[in-house]
Amino acid sequence: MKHLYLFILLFGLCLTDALAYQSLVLNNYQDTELVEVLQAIQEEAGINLVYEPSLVSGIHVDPSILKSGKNGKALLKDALKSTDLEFRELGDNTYAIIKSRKEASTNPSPIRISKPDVIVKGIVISSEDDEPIPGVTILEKGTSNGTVTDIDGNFSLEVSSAEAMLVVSSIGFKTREVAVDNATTINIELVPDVQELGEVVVTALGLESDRRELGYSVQNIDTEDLLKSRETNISSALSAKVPGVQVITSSGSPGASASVKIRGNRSMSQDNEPLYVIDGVPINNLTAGNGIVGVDVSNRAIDINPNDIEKITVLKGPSATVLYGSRGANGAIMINTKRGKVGKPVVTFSSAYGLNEVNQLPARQNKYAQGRYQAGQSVYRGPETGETQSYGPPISELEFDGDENYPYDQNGRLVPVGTGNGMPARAYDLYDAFWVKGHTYDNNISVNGGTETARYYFSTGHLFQTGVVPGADFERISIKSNIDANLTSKLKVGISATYIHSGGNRALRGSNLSGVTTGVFRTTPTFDIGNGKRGFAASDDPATYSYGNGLQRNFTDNYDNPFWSINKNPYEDHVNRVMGNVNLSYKIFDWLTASYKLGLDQYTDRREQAWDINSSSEPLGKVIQSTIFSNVINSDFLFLISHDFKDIGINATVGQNYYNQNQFSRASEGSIMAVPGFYHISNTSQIASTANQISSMEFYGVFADVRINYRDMLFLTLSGRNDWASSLPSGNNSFFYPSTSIAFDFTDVLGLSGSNVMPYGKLRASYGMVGKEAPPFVTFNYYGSATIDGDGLLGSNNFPAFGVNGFERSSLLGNNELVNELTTTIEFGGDFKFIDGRVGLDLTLYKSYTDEQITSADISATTGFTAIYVNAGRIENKGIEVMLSTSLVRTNNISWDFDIGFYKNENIVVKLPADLESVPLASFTAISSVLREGEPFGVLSGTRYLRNELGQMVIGSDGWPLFSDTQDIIGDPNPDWLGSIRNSLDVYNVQFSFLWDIRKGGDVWNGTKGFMDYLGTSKESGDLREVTGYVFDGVTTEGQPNTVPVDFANPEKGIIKWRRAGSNLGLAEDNIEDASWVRLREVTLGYNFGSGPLKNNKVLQTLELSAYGRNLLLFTQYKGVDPETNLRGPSNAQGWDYFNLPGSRSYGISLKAVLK
Amino acid sequence: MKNLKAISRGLLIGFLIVISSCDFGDTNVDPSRLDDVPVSQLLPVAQAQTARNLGSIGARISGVVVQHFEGISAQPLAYNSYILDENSLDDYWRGGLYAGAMKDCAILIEKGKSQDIPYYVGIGKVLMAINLNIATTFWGDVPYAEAFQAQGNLKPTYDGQEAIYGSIQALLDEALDAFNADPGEVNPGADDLIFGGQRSRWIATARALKARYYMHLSKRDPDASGKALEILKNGTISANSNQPSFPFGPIENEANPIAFFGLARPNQLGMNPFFLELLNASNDPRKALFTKVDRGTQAIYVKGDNSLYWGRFESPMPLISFSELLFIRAEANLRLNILTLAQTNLDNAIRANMEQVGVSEAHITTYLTNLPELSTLTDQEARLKMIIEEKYKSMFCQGTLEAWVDYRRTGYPELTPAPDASESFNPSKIVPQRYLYPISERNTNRENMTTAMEQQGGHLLDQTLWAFQ
Repeated sequence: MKHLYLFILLFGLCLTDALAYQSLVLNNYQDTELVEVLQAIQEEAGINLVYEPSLVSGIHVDPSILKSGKNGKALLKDALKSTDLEFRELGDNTYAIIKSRKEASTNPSPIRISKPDVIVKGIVISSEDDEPIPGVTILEKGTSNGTVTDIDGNFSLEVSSAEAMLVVSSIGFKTREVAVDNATTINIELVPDVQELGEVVVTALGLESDRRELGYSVQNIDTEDLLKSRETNISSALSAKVPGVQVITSSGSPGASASVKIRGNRSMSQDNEPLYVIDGVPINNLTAGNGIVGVDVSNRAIDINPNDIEKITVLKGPSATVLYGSRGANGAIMINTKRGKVGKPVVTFSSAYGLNEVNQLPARQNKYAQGRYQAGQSVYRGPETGETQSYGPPISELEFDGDENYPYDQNGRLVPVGTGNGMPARAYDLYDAFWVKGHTYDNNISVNGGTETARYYFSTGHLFQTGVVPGADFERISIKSNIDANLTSKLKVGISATYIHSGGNRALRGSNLSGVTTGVFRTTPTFDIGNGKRGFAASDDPATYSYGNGLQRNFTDNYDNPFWSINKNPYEDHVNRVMGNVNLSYKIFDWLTASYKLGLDQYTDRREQAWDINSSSEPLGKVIQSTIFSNVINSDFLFLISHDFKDIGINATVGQNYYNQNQFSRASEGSIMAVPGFYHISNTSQIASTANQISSMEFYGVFADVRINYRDMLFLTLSGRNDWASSLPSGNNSFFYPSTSIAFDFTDVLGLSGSNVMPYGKLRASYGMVGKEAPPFVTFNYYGSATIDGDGLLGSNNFPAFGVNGFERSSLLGNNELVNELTTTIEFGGDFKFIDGRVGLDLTLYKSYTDEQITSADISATTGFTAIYVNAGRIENKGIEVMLSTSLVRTNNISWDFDIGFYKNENIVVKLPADLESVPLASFTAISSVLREGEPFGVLSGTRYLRNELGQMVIGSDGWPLFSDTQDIIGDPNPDWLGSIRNSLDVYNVQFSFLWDIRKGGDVWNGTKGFMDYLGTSKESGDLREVTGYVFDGVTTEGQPNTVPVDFANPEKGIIKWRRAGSNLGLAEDNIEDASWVRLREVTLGYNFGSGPLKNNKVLQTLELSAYGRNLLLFTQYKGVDPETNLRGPSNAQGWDYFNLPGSRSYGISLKAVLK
Repeated sequence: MKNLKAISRGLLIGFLIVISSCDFGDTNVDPSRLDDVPVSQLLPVAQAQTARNLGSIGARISGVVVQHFEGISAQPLAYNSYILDENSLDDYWRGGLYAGAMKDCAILIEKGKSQDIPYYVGIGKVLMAINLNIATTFWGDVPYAEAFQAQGNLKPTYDGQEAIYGSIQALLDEALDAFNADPGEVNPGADDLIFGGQRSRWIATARALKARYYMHLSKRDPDASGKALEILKNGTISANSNQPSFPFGPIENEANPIAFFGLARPNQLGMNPFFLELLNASNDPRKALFTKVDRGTQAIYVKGDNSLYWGRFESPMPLISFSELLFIRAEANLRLNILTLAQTNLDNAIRANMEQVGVSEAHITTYLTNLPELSTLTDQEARLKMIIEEKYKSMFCQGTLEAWVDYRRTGYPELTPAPDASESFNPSKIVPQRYLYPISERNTNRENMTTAMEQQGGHLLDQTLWAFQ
């Protein structure tokens, strides 16, 4: 509480100062320049003014009119009363100041009398987006004759001659002179003026700010680009867009989750994903149920329909996110949705169709048959033996016997050449049989419009996507409405509501005996999973995967035929979600607005999973029904204070926040199915409640954010927040954190304004902290429903069982002394424009460290507990973000932008809790992700070779390398750097853009290959099987060079190189691979008929046809599926590939029409 | 309603700028769990976890090591060549033993003492002794004296194996004292899944276990056999029907871990050819009840086939079987040169096991008739070999852990080490004598673990533990 009082006191002082200063400045307004008064009117009355600067210069007015309390229009009238200027209302609160007409007519120019009038008409559009520009001043050069474009950018002007020159100017654009040259219709394109361009970004609480004024790095994402590339998941769409952001999509399966990390991982055992904020309201981005078994689930940000997005801003550091408190500790993705604009209804329709296909798969061998080394020989053991290995004899030594009654193959069983019917055995192409092309259909329609008092935006969208696995799909239906109304000139209200239905059919993958990937990658080459059919034909025919008696048709009992898995192991999820907010704002004084916003995000996620009888992992059949319920309520009450004085502008926000997050899951698990194929819990004889997890958290926060703008040159921000979090012990649940930033626009100081070499420059620095609370329920010890386990390879027995109930003390030791963790970030950077503004550089250096980490620390099980949450440890991130943007060509008809992004983050675990050797993030027999002092976050630790002090491999007396008895670091999943290169070309309304995504470094554990090697289905295990007499480079235990040769695979000795590590995952060290890539992430090609041939169409404003591609090219050394993959989804454990579903490339076409 | 409450709360709070109270009530209390439970809820859990520990991964690995089992595919295949690293038994150490059954027992003992309900203390101590013994036969020196103290000691030291054996006997003595004390106000009943609260049977069990653990030290303690027979004089398990068996059930959630593994991981674990040969050589009638050929592998579990005794979900798991007790007597008799009693106990032991798994009387008689008499064998060693080999057969699936102890202290049955044994953790490539400490101890209790390693002369599978030297 101490901090809070200090904070209120400080803020109170600021406020009083501000009020005093206001009157002082006003008193000094004597004989003020009109332009200053206009600016004051503009800012205080909230209206937009457009005028040509020369028109208003040199005119002085009495500023006392400003104190009259009149509204904007009346003020404007007063201000122009004594001048020869007048104004014209353009709508949307915008007014143009022009030369008074009566003035013009009483003083006609001499030329005008002598020549007949010529009327010139036309439209003014922006070269950037081809949108019409309203309020552009068009003057006939050398006269005071002029006009202003209307809301659709149209103008009509009588000029004195057909040779007249027009001076076309508008704020934010470069002034142009255009010769009339006998034309009656002139269409004028204006090029944005970077010197004046104030890019609007969304900052905390959904408020929009001018990017120039911010002392920290924020980046907008071009939503048009985002839409054109048709990425389903908004999180995945952030890939390669913003330096400082790393995105890893779990796989290419429809609806797969994506992990987003902004400036590295900070927290050892808590979530490191950013906060998603829609229209100022935080939403839940939970990814539930992403484990090493199961399916690729979604992260819930996927529910956002990209078509509804107006603007996305990525806030990276705590200075940017202090106002969201602890939830924003990992950065924030700020999304503002589209809202209605004043005018008649505008209907936007878009439709897209695309295809997706597998882009990369682990290579298989096709030389050797099912079998194993037995009694000194490589023995063929067919499907009837259930053999899992493919270490049988060469396929060329086998032929079919033609037995029609043999159930496993239509051509009969395999027998040695010469003993069958002469039809040679063959390796089936499993990939060709299994993977299919997926389809995406995406249709959206929206209408927006409104009046000065009420504006609306309604939309609905439907997305349906099928995957590369037959039967896998994802669907999203969204309905949205945004309504804004000005009830009075002071009171505004807004209501936003969105309903989403999403979900799909998901394919099992990972460490999963029933996974489709298990089947596709493990099946022996001599077994035809499709039974003579391919793709959907195979999938749709039960004879592919089962016999008439309900038994499964497969090469072994151990794993499911992937077609069985698709048909008999369904996993569906159904999400119904409502998000919305109501907001009120009341302008108490011109300088003070009070605003209240209440947001709600509520969903249920219902999942149905089943394994039919005779599935490998659940031979007796099993049904799991589960529901996740999530509810987030966020309330913000704010005062917005804004006032400009002579040299100083103040913008302040002070407010209070309440946040309540409730989540629970319930599951029933029914075992032993009675009727095959009926996947309902009533069809099972053993029913247990397996999950009843509840998580609830509440926060209160008070905060203030004060921005001071000195002469549009120096911008200072001071902010602070105090949180009270329910998950911390009651004595420690209050925590305060401040931040400050400064931005210095040196353009004017150095006289650069207007310079061609460097027309704009800004330096910025910030320092800020953000606190973070504990997870819920970790401060006490609990007794929960008991499970009998202690065997990672066997499921647990759950109480109630044996006719009684049972409870057990949780293995998590409660800690009632926890305090909040704290992340501190220091950031320096600058924005620079060079060469006429054609080259822009945005550079940021940052360093952050997180202390007092609330970490789940493993403790010795011999204490009776296995973990405790503690405050300890430190993680540091430092990095550089560079965005270089250039306009290589910018003419009326051709423009070419070329942007390069670069991001490098160095992450180091400086200190671990207590004297822990390492903190495991996730483990799976041969491999784990761990934190280790002095190492980057989440390094991969696993089984590895034994090495001596010199780092040489130690070789046993039999010539084979020895293995270390401990697992240790073998790889680092963090990339060295990320880069992006974007080219955007616009040639006569044909838009072409492509985005290269480059990742250098970062390891992935290719466990899939390890297992395929072990089973003998991988290409390597086929190609290198005949290597003999190989001498491993290493030394004996006595230190002598190894000289003993070995055969990689020797049936006589029963030796197989790939099985020596014992684990069926192989030796983890052998399967760590560099996941560097260069990929063509996005390509779009579009043509807008609306600004081309249909330019003057009355109905169509835009008609755009575009083609898109994602992931069309991938260059990588990685030998598995697309290395942008992670079995563990958006978790802290990255770099796992273990029977992951593959990535995909996609391409398609889309059509967008805007009707006016 | 909850929403409405939260919304109105939000609204209310929204208009209050300064917060006077930051009390969150029960928000941070998990409504799905309890802060304490009665002992009757803990006892079945301690029993079920102990029984599972006798048949889950520790038993599968030990069963492969001692050649009851053979790995056919996946992880068990690695056990064949003794690729057993610090990860192999980490789950077992943490979730099965220390933060599993042993933690449950520690809480039972503590609650039993503080609530003055001695029978719970007694059962807790019996189960603790069994689990502690598993730990020490796997790893030698293990934490006990300083264990289970939560924040009180986050890094317990390791007790020497000799001290651990002392603690085990002390636990069982204290258990006997507790069972002989006046009953408390609450006594085990239906929550005692093994004996339904029958005190006398727990007493019998505690004595049988004491005898077992005396015999473990046959190489160390010349009086082991005398001590074992002495404690049994007071009365002990007298029939298959009163052996302490945990009642696994016929459904997956209550399944015996051996059969459960067969179902969940088909085709991964089968019968070892060595064991099969042993059964064949003596024309053992249990062979058909232990194994059958299923599609080319020597299976011990066949789905849907109830003919294999250990392939049934509901096969009960004895903490110590009547037959094992008789073998213990036979061995002790032999060591004390009481050959006739040794012979009687041996015959009865074989009979007890055969009856347990369902061999017909005719087959039992035939088998016993064909079995050479101990007296006809050349020397004591040959007789010991026969007793232990017969015991080895009867310990299949219900006493693999004990069979491994017997092998290490007697050298029987005579196993041939795996030809493709990995050198990595076993330079001499012998049948493993111990396991490596689990990785979690290296991460969380490194100093004490290192000290224990050093005191035992290293960290390899071929190092003989103190008890078996």
